[in-house]
Amino acid sequence: MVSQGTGFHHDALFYETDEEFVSTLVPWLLEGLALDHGTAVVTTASRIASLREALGADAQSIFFAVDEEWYTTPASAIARWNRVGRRSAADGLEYTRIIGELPFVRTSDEQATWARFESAVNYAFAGAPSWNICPYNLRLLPEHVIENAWRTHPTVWDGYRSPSDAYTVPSEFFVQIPEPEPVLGAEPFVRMALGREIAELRQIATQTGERAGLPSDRVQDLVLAFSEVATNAMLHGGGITNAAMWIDRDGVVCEVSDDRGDLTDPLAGFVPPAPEGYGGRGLWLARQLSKWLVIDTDHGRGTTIRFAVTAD
Amino acid sequence: MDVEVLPVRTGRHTCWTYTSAAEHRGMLTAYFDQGLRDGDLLAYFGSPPEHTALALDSLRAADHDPEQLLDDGSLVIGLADDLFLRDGRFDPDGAIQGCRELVARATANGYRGVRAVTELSWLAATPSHRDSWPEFEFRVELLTASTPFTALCCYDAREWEPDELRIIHAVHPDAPAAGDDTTFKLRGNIDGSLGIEGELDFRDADAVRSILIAAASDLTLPVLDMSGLLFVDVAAMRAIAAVALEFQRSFGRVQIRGASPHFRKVWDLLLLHDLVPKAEMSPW
Repeated sequence: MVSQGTGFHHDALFYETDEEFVSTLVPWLLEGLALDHGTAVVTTASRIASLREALGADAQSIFFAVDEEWYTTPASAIARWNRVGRRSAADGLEYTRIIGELPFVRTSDEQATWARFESAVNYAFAGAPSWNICPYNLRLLPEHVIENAWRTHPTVWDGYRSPSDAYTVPSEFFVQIPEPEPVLGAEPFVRMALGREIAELRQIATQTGERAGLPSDRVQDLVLAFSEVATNAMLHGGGITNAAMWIDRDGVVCEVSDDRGDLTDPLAGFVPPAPEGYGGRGLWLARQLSKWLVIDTDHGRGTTIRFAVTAD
Repeated sequence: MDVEVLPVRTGRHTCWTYTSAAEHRGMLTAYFDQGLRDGDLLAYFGSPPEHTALALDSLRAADHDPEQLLDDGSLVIGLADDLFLRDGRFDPDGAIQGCRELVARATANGYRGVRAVTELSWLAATPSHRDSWPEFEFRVELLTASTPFTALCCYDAREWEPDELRIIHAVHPDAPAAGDDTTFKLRGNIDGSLGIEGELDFRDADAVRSILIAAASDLTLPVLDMSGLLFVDVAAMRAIAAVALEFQRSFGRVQIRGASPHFRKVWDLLLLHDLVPKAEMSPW
């Protein structure tokens, strides 16, 4: 067991049985507690129960959460992990150990979404004082999910750390594994006339959300996310060149374009902003409020941001 | 040429924009007439001197004798310079104190309160005063909320930029005036709290932060009332947080009252509870 008290680490752990899961991770957790590291575990309810049993009284010092409640959207999961880190720091703990096992998802679209999440973690928490171990069950998960685990984790750990030869930097991974977007109709529900005031655009977003049958709180999320993306285009993109919304069976898909194309980072908005700093919060918030958000920049021709707000 | 002045509901702090002398006089006539019927001491502050002649004419138009009113002390006429400037520099603290003293004098002499008109043309020639004027106007808003002081602030629309008037309208929450296209209002509530109403976004976030922080010294209650807030974006939320932080520093605490569940959700997502740890969110 190598103790680590500095630097950001994002390791994949490949295991086959629950017994292996517990026997590998319990000593690591106990070591962390002995070193006064903050510790947090997100996995299935049954594996939480197994860990608690093995840890005994030491389990009281560890934060536990169930995978399906924690991993609702990639952006919100990053926000939750950020809070874990901030809570550790507020408690005077200089380092945090995290076990984060993604929930089992069946569809290839969901698998792609969560693979992108794993990649984004490298970007969002680069330099953070935390050691993150992401367990992957070799017996349960499809081969391509395991392959993506090798690509999204710089290192692999099984008690000893070794580099992943297949690691792909997030900006490239995001191009290679695009966000699964719904197929949209040729004509949107509404295409907003250019030159309108932002308050008018928000009214249209409200009407669209209500027409889509979104609950009132999600309509507010839609309006705010849209306002932030539109504001971004106005302030940093030279102005809005296109703003449209589609209604599909899940909710509303929005698209906003500018013609400056300065926003070239497909991961913009994933880094948790510090509360006391300035800037960079609009896209963060838009990601938090939406199911997914994609930044598409055609160099020299502009940036388009698409995102979806759904009922759940 | 007669100009029809449609009845305008005035509140305790009203902004009146006009585009002709006839409009201006018509409004003054109605406003002063109501004040006399209510038992208020009337006050008019304006520059240059020909504007004060307009005030006297407006009283005559309502069949009042302005000379008699001046003699018996029911009417006070002054130059804006006398009220707002000290040694040629804008003195907002002095102006607020001057208004408080006028109210105290009026109520001691049996008047219901003071009904004041200020004509703001003099600001057009003084850019440095113009920039901070909305901050002062909001301090007047707080004064009208806490004392029997009613204010009508008159702006010649031909001398102001639309964006300037938009902010000025925002700090006059009562009686929306013609041409008022602001999406938000800042209000001094009777209980001493500060209210933000309507939709607030990046266009006005900086102005709102400056206005509310400048008003902190006049507050007795560190309460921000969000119950009338319909929309707030990230920039505006951070401006509100900056104001809350200032109140926390001044008072040791701050209450954000009437915040909607969505407001609290966004406050949480932006980690603003870490920035303003003593902000207490409370329902109305």
